[in-house]
Amino acid sequence: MSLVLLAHACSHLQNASKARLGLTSLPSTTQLHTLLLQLQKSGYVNTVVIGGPTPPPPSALAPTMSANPEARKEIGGGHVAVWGRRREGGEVEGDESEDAMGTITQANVASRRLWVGLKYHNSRPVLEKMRLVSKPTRRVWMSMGDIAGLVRGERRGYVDGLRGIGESMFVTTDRGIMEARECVERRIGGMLLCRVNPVSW
Amino acid sequence: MSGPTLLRFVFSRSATPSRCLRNLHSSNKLAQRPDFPKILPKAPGEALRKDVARVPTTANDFKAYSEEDKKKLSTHFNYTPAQLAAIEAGEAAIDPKDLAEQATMREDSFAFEYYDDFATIHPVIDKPVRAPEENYDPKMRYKNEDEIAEDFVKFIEEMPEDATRLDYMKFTDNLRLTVGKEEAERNPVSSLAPAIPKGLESLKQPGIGKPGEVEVDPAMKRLMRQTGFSLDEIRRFRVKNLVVHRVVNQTRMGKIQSIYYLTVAGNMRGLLGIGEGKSTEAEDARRQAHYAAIRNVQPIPRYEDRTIFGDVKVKMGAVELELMTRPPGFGIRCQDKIFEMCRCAGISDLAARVTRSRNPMNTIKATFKALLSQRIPDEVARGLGKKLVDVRKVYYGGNV
Repeated sequence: MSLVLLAHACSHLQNASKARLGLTSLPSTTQLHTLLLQLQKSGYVNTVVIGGPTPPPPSALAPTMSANPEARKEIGGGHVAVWGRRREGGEVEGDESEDAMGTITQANVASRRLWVGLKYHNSRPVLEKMRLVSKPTRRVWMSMGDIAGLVRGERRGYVDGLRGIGESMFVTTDRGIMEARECVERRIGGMLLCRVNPVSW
Repeated sequence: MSGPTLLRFVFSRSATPSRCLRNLHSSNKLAQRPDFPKILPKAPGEALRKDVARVPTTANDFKAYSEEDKKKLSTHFNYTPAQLAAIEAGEAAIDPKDLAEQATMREDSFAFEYYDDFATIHPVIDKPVRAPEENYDPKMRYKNEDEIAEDFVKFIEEMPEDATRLDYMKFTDNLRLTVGKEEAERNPVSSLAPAIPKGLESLKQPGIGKPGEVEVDPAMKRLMRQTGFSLDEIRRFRVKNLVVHRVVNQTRMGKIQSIYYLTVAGNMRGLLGIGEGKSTEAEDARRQAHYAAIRNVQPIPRYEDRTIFGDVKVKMGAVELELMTRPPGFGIRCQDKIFEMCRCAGISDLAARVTRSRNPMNTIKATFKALLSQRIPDEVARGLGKKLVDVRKVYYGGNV
């Protein structure tokens, strides 16, 4: 899977944070979507919503206003609002008048965007730095043991350990994208995607 | 040599090398130092305290009562004949020679070097005399208003006709405030150590501790007013002049040179400041820098009062440096300027790496900036919406 889009997403999120934007959008791909949901679970972003070319209505973004409590619970109990998410029965959650904006159909899938609500605390961005670890020309795979070393703050191979305060690394595995610490907990290795830091150094 | 003899020879050797008992060569035996210093008995006349002249007591110092003395005792002091007889019997029983021998100051090596007859108990020095535990009354309680009023009524009823103020004072002094055992209130059991007596003026050294007498220069007075630190606190600051050099200003009159100082000051408990001073006079520049550093002190966040929170990277001018947090006992392993700053701030475990330029002035400024720009984990965790627990405090029971 190409990492070019992910590299662009990293830069874009950094730039948006520097510009103090409240809401920004990224191309809608499965990889980015799952990564952003992990970021949300770790507390780096507020909301992750799939929407159209224009921003979704505030009701869809406000985490507390999500009509479906199951949707909020679904990912780590965090604040999750998924606009127009299909439920088991096939019916679409949300207001019927805004349905066209939220529902993913074969016709509109190409124009979908991921709308990301960015977080700020004490007038500083919560996500200040986001960098690729694997590059498009050089992928880095690691076993669970090596990832455990990284999590402990040790340098493994050419990858520095997670020594920053509140720093995380995201790893793509055969069980999906997850945080490095969760990888160690579940004893699986994978390809290192990117590292996220609440501090800019 | 037979077997048993050899065995005995082997096993009879002691573990420690025995002292050579026989001279194996003709030279003089080396003087051996004794294990303990020899204590020589003191001469009987030698006084322990040289400053006090001691007059030996003799039997002649204890003279018997004369007839005149006995008459005075009965007339002036109203001694009864029975008492006088007892005194005489006592005098007859005790030999003045014994008194002279026993009631004298000790001169031997175990004598005390101060004068005390050990007749009084000093609560601090001696084992305190405590009230017996029977004085404790678990049912003791304070009197309520009715009971106190009852006491007053009783006092007024039993008051003599010509009551004075003294009667009332006696009553208030003896008035009990609690109900229960009397000893529990008057002489309560306490396991507290006795307080150290106050007013030990003699312990104070002369010439110290009168703030009015200390001369403070106006610049220092201004510094004290600006910072709110006392003179003592300012003096206790650790101050280091880290950069000193000559600077020159070229004017049309010629070159004017000055001395530049860069000074750090810290209280070794988390406060650190840097200050610059420049003047044609070196002493003036030094004082300017010193006072500026103290005026500039800022609190440095310290993890466990010994290291920094996480790694910090900072750029100042062309200096790029990285301060790294380290475990207890690691020490301050870095270059001298950063080392001195850490000492002033009270950081004992730290590593640093200075890359690109290593200009001393900018290194110091960058270090100060880095120490101030630490991110506190609690703050970061709050931003992430996570709960943070320091497991070091949990594992070691808070003894870190």
